[in-house]
Amino acid sequence: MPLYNASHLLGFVSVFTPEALQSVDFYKGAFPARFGGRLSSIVDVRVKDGNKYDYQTDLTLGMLTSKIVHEGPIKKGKSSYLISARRSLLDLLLTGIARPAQKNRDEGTVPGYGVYDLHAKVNLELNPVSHLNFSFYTGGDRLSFEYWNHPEYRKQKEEDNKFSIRWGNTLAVGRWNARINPKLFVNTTLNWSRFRYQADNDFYTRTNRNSDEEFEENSYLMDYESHVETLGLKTDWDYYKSEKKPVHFGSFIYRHHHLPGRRNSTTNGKEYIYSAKQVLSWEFGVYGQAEIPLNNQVNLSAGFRSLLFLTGEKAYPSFEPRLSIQYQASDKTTWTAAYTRMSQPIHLLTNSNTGMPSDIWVPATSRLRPQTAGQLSMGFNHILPAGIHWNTEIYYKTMRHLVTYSQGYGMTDVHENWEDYMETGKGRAWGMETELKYHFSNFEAQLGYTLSRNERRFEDLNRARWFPHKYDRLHKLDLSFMWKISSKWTMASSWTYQSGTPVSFSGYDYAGYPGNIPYGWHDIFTDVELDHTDRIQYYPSVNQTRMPSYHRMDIAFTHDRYVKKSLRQWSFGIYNLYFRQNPYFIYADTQPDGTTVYKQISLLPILPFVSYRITF
Amino acid sequence: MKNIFIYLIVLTLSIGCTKVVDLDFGETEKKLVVNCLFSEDQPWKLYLTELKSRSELTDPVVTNASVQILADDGSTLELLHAGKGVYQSDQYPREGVTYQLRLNVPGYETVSAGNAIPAGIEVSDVDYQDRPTTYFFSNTLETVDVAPLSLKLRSDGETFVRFRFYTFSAGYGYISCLFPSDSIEPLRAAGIPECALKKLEKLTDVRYPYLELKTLTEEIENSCDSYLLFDNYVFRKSQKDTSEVRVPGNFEIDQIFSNTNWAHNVSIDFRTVLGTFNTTANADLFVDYMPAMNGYGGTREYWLEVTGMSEDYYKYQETYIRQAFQSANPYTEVVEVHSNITNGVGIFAGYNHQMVHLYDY
Repeated sequence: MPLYNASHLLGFVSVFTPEALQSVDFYKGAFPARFGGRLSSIVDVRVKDGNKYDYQTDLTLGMLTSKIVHEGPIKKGKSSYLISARRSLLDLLLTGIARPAQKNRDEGTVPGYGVYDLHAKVNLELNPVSHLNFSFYTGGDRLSFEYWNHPEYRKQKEEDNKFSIRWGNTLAVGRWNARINPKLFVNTTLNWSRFRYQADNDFYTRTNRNSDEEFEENSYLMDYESHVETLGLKTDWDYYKSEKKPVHFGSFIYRHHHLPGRRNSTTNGKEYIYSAKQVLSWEFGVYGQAEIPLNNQVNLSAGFRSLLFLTGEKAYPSFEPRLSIQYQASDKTTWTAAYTRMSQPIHLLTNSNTGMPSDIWVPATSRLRPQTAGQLSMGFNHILPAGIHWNTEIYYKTMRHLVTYSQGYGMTDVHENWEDYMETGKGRAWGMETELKYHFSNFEAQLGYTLSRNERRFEDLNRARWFPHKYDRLHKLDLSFMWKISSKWTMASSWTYQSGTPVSFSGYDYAGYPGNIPYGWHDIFTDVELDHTDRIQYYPSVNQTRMPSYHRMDIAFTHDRYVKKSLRQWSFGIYNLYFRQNPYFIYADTQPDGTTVYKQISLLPILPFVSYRITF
Repeated sequence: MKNIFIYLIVLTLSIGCTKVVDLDFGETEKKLVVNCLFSEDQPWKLYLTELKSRSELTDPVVTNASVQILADDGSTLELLHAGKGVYQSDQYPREGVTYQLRLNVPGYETVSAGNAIPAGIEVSDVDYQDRPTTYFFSNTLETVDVAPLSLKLRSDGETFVRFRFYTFSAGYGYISCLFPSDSIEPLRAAGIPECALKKLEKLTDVRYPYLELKTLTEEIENSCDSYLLFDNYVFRKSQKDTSEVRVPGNFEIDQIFSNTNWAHNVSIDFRTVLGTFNTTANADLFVDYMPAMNGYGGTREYWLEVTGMSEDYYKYQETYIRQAFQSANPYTEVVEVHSNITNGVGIFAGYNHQMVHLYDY
């Protein structure tokens, strides 16, 4: 079941509570044929079924988030349930401090940022060879801001403003799996999911214009929403002719409903509605994949995924071959090569000039084709002396029918014919990923390095030249280790580095034709009226400069103690140990003398944390 | 909607750390900047500067250029340097002639461009309705009283057009002012801050339309925290000249917008409407209702400006406005301003122009 937003806290925290997970598999290159609909990568997350024999509770109280996972049998040995819930405390902390501190002030602001997720699963054994389970997940982020200004002098304008932005997923899944015979298994899934991005604003003013008795009151309400809803039915079959020759096949049907954007504005009770055209689309598909051992050393995996995407009056068929070959050169060395074609009938629209949450999903339509990609990859796994595992992969990927905003447009523009404000183009990505893993006794270490390029080309952008994509990172390095100091103490640390995000900032400008724009407007940051509309920014190329690189070190200590079978765990540490001010957002700031400097905003420059976990 | 994001950014600022950062823009670009919009109303005039770093304050002007205008009727015209990077001639461009620009500056490749003045637009059935209707701009959370305005347009073939709405006050609309340089010392003696004096010096000994000088002085007032400079000093010390015709710089731009498909506003700009049509079109517009009631004495006139643009001028205008708005809103993709200058940037394009009198108040 697709999940459209996979992280909380602007990317810092996964939407899944780790204690509730059974397995997480990450596919970068050769996707198995049962997965599709995405070009970049697949994260296959499986949630625990719940303990069929004992009741268990896992409770964590932390500064950033607190969570509880509870599981147990419904019918001992046969059926079980699992419930997990998590909520951030950051917003309670922020609003808890800000509101009382400003309670008696004429003017005040209360910021807030909170996240939550809730997951429930029921696993029922119908008979020894057949199971039924139901899952429900909902989670999201909420950014809010409250402002008031009630000046004592009655003839001044009073203002009250509340706004919030919320985004998140909700999904429900029902799954039946059965063993038809010792060699044939079936999984049938009925699922529904929704990703919503919402913003609302409640703005009220009260102005005394003429006399003490006469007041002019104005109220403005605004609601914005963009969403995608998917209802799907999927059947997966696994046939094991022998353990080494499994065959996987299946079929699926999905119904997608997209609202690319809708804005309701109400001024003094009068409502104005602006809405992008809504789109209903269907996906029908089948897939198959077989593992074919050619000899003792060579194993071939061949598969396909074929689908028909219907949107409006347009039908887009696609055929996606999936082929990978594995050569076991020795006990310690394995070589792999793969070719994969993928298609994605929905497009992620994101703004490249801001770090703010602004991702929305729009569908392929009769004018915007589904995006497609082909990827060739080669790699090897090798065991070095001392048991160090080394794997490396190189890849080259081409992409077509990519979509992005036209020049000057973004998610704040809501138009019925929203496709008119899009550009279509192509992309290419290539690189090398290498990883070293070491595990000895009570020490584990991991080193990962990626050298890569990711570029885009659109006919009506950047004079049809290639430019770096927002997610282009030439270097990415991750180093982590975990040391079990004693039976009770564990120390873990990680260091990450990545090249700066490509952005389009101008270092040069020139004079526009004198008097061509004889008026100004207001700076979005300061609300100061701009008086330099006579200047034109010169961009040699889109995304031609980069934000400063991102790096940070985290360190954590954990102390475990068991009381009978119950774990008592204290964790404490420091996030961003050496106070690196990583760029989150950069903006141009005009100085009083008319020159321009760039300013960087960093979030969470250094953050000590402590948490307490108990299981029973 | 825009306000949501303003508050969001304020929120981010309130919980984050802010510092000035040096970005690497690569090697310095060296390009000539040509600005030349021509019509039958004005003699040839071209502004020539160089691209500058945004950390510098003033445009480097180019004074040693050879500037030629080649017409497709075989004639050639040389524009001469008149100071401060301005090249001009007393001859007027003509409609129906295609002009080629040839510009040479030592150390630069030859700069070239070509364009023509488009055919005129016939405006008819102008209907300004003196009744207000309230319009809500959801992007700015503001309401404004507007009056409907409709008209018919006719031209030959594909036409690019720009509308702007102006008010003109008979009270000061015929006045131009020259602020003499010998007025600076008395202002210094009167305690006017040096910041303001330095900026005022740049306005001296040049004749400005009243409104333009007032606007420029008010910008100095705001940036140097020095108030009432214009009313108390600059206007009083200026040498006034009253013309018999309306001084173009004394027209005050005001709000105009359209919701129809053929003509559209650029982003959330409410002062320029751009559109294209083929042969004929009806324009349904809204203009500010009774804007700026203070007419400084005398009648206040409402005018509609209709500008027929060459395609290059239209693209330049659209991208220029879109870029300016984009720079104030990080939630949009950056805009590269259209240029038709080979080996340089800027614009060399023709237009025609007419003012339609709507109403007097």
